[in-house]
Order: sequence, then C-alpha cells, then structure tokens
Amino acid sequence: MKVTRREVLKTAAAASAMAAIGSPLANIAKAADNEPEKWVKSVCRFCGTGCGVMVGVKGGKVVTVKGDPNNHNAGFLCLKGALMPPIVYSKDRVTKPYIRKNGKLEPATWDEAMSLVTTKFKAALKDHGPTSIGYYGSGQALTEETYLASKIWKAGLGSNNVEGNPRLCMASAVGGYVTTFGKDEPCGSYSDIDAATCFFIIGSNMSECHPILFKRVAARKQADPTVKVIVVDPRKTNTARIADEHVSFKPGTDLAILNAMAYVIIQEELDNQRFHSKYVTFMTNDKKKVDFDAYLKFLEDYTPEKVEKISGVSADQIRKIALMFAEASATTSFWCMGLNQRIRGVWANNLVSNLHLLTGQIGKTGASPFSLTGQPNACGGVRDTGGLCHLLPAGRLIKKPEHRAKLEEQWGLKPGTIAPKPGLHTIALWNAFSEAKVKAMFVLCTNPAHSLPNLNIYLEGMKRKDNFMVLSEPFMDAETVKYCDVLLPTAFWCEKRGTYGCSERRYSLLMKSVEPMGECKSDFEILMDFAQRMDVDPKVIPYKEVDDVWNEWREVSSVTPYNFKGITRARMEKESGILWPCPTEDHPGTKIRYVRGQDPNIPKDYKDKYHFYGKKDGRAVIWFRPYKGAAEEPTDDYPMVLTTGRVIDHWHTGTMTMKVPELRRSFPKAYVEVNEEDAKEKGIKNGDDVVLETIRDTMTFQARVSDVCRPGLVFVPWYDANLLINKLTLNAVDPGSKQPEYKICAVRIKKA
Amino acid sequence: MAISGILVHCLKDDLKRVEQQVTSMEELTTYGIHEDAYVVAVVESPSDLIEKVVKKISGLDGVLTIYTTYLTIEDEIDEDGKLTTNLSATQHMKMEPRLDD
Repeated sequence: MKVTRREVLKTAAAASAMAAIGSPLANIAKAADNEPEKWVKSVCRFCGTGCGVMVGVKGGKVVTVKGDPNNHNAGFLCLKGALMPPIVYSKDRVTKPYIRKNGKLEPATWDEAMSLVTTKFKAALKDHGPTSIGYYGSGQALTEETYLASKIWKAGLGSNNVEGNPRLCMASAVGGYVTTFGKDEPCGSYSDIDAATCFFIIGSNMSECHPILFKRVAARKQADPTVKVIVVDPRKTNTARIADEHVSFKPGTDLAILNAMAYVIIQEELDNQRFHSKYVTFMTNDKKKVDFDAYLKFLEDYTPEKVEKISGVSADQIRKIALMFAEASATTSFWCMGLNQRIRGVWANNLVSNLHLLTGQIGKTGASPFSLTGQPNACGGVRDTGGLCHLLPAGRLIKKPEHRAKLEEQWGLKPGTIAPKPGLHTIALWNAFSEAKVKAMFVLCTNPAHSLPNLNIYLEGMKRKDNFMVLSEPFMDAETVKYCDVLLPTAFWCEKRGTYGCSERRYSLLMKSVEPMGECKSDFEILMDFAQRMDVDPKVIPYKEVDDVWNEWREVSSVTPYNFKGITRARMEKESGILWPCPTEDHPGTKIRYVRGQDPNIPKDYKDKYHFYGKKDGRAVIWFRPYKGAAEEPTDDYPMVLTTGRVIDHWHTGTMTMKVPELRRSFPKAYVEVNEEDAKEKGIKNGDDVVLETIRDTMTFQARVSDVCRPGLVFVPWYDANLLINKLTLNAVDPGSKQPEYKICAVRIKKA
Repeated sequence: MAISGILVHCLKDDLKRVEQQVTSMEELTTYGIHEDAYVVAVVESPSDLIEKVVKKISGLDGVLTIYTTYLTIEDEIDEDGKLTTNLSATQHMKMEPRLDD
C-alpha cells in the first residue's frame, strides 16, 4: 500500500503526541519520525519554563516544531511554542539595517549603521565619560550574548550601566534568594512537582503564564487526589480552578498573610525545631540576629484575627492554609510577578522562604520554595552571568573589591579595570536617558517603549534629539522601533546558536537550525563588531565564535558555587539540558542545592546534612519582614486598584504572538476585567467602553465583567501595543531590588 | 495546510464522549484514548487557523486543556521559500476580529 506524504506527516504528529505520554504505540511512526531533512535541538522562545523543542528543517527552512521528549517537558508544548515556525517567517522581520533620517527609518548598509553607532558612543564617552552610555538587554537574549555585552561595557568601556528587562520581572526574586540563602536561584527543580503533596501558589497564574508546568501540577493532583493546591491571588484565575483553597485578598496585603501563616504554624507546634535551631538565623528587619522567641513576639502583630482585618481573608482560612502547608509531607511553593513586581517584592520573597525554613519544607524532594521566571533566559542569561548594573558573573558584586579583583585576574585584565561603583538600575537608567544624561543607549532583544512602567515619561525621553538609541530587534512592528535612531536586523531564535537557562537552573543549547533571514546577524556578531569598532582591548573579546564565550563562562564560574565546568558544548549537544552546579563532565547536574550528597559544593563528609554556604555561618535567614502597603494605595479620588498581567495566548509585548492571526483574534485587543459588583454599581455591562484613570494618564478599554477580579480590583493585560497600559502603571521601585510595582496602583473607573 | 499533533486532556468520565465529539470534527483525526486521560488527535488546518480548532476542542465539556506536541507547516512554504499563510502584522491589524467564532 502506498502511503502518501501527508499520511506520513500525520502519523509523525500522532506519534509525537503518544511519545509525550509514554504510550507504547509511539513507535508506530518511527519510520516517519525523521521526515524533515534534519531535526535540530532547541528551546522554546517564550516563557521561563524552558521547554525543549526539536526543530525540523527542510529545504533550509524551519517546517516543523515538536516537543523534545528528553527535556523536562517530555515532549509537551503549549500552542504558543508549537506555533514558532510561522513567526520565524513573519513578513514583519527586520532584514536589513536602518538609520533614522528626518524622522524616518531609511535602509542603510551594515557599515553605515555601525559607523554611526560607534561615532555616537565614542562621542558620548569622550564628552561625558562612561556613565553617559548604557546597555539595556533582555531575558530573551542568549547567555553568551548577555555575558559578552556585560563584559564589553564593564571591562571594555568602563561603564557599569548594564541593565536588562529581568530587572522588571525577577529582581525581587534575586533579592529574596540572596538575602535568605546568600545565593541566587532556586534550591529545587521541576521534578519536585512529581513528589510534592501540597502546592502553595502565590502571585502566579501558572495556568496561563507557565502552562506546561501547570500541566505537571494538575497531573500530579489528578494522579493523587490527596495532593492539596492552595492558590493565593486576588483574581480567581484559571490556576485557581484546581485549588482546594483559593485565597482572595486585598491587593498588597499578602505580606501580612504570610506572617500570619508563620504565626499559626508555630502556635500549632508544626514548626520543625530541629531544623530551624540548627540551620536558621532569625534576623530583624534592621539585620540584628535574635532568637526564636523574638520571632514569636514579632509575629504577635500577625494573628489571623488581626490579619483578617488587614487582608479581608478570614482567620479560619488563614489557619486552614497554614496547616495544609505545614502538615503536608512535602510542600512546594511557586510564585512569580505577583510577588516580584512590588515595592516590597524582596520582603514578600523572604516571607515565602520563611515558611519553608520554619517547617523544614526544603532540601528534600517535593519540598522547595521556587520562583518562576517570565522569560526563557532571565535566569541563565542575565542573573547568572551578571547582566545587571550591580552584578558580575556568577553572583559576584561590583561593589566588592575582592570580587572585581578575582574577575579581572580570571579575565587577564589589569587590576582596576572594572569601575568600583555600580551603574544605574533600569528605572534610573531610563530616567537618565530621558533627561539626556545618558547620551547613548544600546537596546538588545527587548521592547522598552512598550514594557517600561509610567511609560509616557520614557516615550518623551526617547523622542529627544540630544540622545541616541540603537536597537537590535527582529520585528519591525515592535514599539521601540518607532523611537530608535538605528535599527539593526538581528537573527532570531533558531537562526543562531547559544544557550538558554530556565527557571530550574537547567541550561539547554539552542543549536542553529537555519541561516538568518536577509542581512540579519546574530547578536554575538553584532556585539563583537561594535566592540572592535569601539577599539575595545582585544584581550576583553578574545572570541572567534560564540562557543568561545561559553567556554570562558564555564571557566569563570568554575571557582564559584555556580560551577558550569562540566557543562561542555559536547554534552549540551547530546543531552537535553543540565542543571548547575555541575563541576565535572561526568556529573549529572544538581536537582537539590544546599544538601549533603546532592549539592557538589558540599563535601560528602560534611558534618551536617544541610549547609547554606551562601551565608558565612552556613545558616539561612528567617527575616522579620513587616507588612507594608503599596506605594500608591487607593484614595477617595482613585478608589480602586489596577493590576496588569498576561493572558495565555499572548506573550509579553505581543511582537511574536500577535503575528499568529488566531492568537490575535482570540484576544484582539486589551480589555479591562471588572468585578460584577463594581460593574453593577457603575452601570457597566460586558462590552461597554470603560475609562480608566490614574494620576498618570487616562485610557479607555472594553469591559469584561466577571467574578475573576475581586471587588475593588481591575485587571488589564499588557500585550497590546495599541493600548499601552503601562501609560497608567507606576514606576515606584522596591528599595532593595529596584523592581517597579507594576501590580498595584490606584485607579478610578467609569463607563465611557 | 499545517499538521499538528495534540493531546486532549480530559476528565476520566468524559473521555469517551470527548473522543466521539473530536472524531466528528472535520479537521481532526483521532488516535484513541491513552493513559485514561488523553485523546490523541491530529489537526489538519492552515497554521493561522489552528488556534481556532484548538479553542473549539477546549470548549467541549470535560476537556481540561489541550497540549501541542508537533506542528509542521511544510505544505505552507512555497517554491520561493515563503510562507503562504503568513500575513504581516499590519495586515493582521486590518482584519476584522471574529469574536463570534
């Protein structure tokens, strides 16, 4: 019987689905499985879950994407991930360089564009010094690209003004981990999901923002109905659909709830005294070491009854979730932007870790505090390799002379090369650009004209004639294209080679599948060209190809607890991701940190089971973090709370997902979600135009009336370039992490 | 025409009915019930309409969610290497939203 090509492809598609669930029938299509001319290993371009994909290439084109059965996602993808091929071939791709002339972007040669860029940067350096230039990168850039850009700026140009959009999404998680454990990044791994008996999900809509991880949580609960799920969120999201307890609270009061849970846990004698007496330091907010009794006294302000008045959550429900958390054999917490995008984001992160340290729900399979990331390489590119203004690679700090000295030694540079003062954090950097104090900015792989908070300020700054912005961007319709002075065509996703590191410390290789479109170049090539034209010391950039950068990073990390030494390119080509630390080529990677026998940073004969080596005394910290409200609480004039977020079909600023017509049609434009009670009071019906007004701006959105938001809260998704909700949001930042409070601002609404 | 492999994740009691409903859909071929939780199916549709098909399945009673494991657009790339179903974002924005779909 003759089998048509179409039937072969259908069989391959079915086999891929069966393989994902481990069906023995998956081999029905073994013969068809190699249908494209080649399969190339890669990683999804969207969220921080970091799903492995296999890219099918035929005739030099990407024709197929399927889930990598050997990566953590076991072959599963969400629809966004599967729809990558049409996005690669979008007609909106930037395929040649442009220079703005008389307000309009005109095609240019690479040489013309790069000559102008370097002329502007050299002039800024000469006339105003290193603090007048900046780099603004991305959690979507490859690890090698961020490492390289950060090194060029900090070691080659003498400027620590190196930032990136992860400052907007996960800086508070970094601050939380570092202050609690002494080291950034989660202790556990995704495999904890398969063993957890309680999930504590706070400030995260996993169902829409991390659908493949949520699938793993839902499957765990489906397999064992005794598994408990607690969702703490002022919106009744899709995630809350599987919750045993959905805790809806007054926005901004979650710090009080977390302290109340600790209070209940101690009152019910469910704290793990053996664990916290040996491995934990109790520390006041002003950094005084105290004892357990002092902690108990601190918590007396957070009895469930007191917190009920603050949060609107009943004392009974607070008690119930505290018991669920503490009594479970293994509790894993997940959180994301709901905790991070807050002026007390670091404190909120600390308070979740407090619960784990108090109960000993840490360092065992299924028990871990785990922050989720929004972008595919925010952890891997920016956090780990030091792509922020205060960081150096592998968790070192610019402000510490010994950290700078060691890195200068490793890089073979003379002492004092790296400037001792940290640069400007993201909001300060864009403030300075808007005031033309930063004269020249290099923006790579991100869309600040859409994503910055209190956006009008920064759009005005981008329009100025006395500053200069070069943008490396794959899509012509990104908002920032409207404002850049030079636009560089960058290779996209499978058109280049490099590494992504996802939320669980797993690094996977994106192998180059096809040649870049048009005149596009990889950002590695663009940055190298820039550095050479800027006369950067060749010792700073001794690279011929992108793998040279990776190998240097392995060496730099190898003398630190990060330790990527064993994650060689050869291994990455063969394996579907490896979790650091991984000190040797035969090391399998690390699923649990800070535990003897699991974490290679702890000697096998170490006297204790746990060792929080990020802290000098080896003890993690339970912090006394008080409840503090939002930067902009509701008032009589602005009596409601505005919050923003994502929807399942769109990702970030929509430059990728809005190119898929049905994704666009399912959410064609941003809307405002209004609670039924509020809508009734204001005479708003589903589909009505509603005016939202903050002290910063006024905008109109179509209403979706439902019970998703609690009364007093409205929600607007932020993907829509035609309705830039960030014109209304607030740019107040957490004093520690410098992350803006996107999640809460005061608003008033009325029917248009 | 794109081809996509999908897993329809269902509540156990609804599996049979969902499988029958999915089988009756024009764009879909089913490959049985697996692991007491999933209907394996293949969608044949222009890539720019696959989401519509997925949304249709998602709306069936008893369906928890849909996972995609494979998508090929091999048939949609013309002799010049251009994607035949592809539109620019500008063109997308001119298209009327079909909220009634």
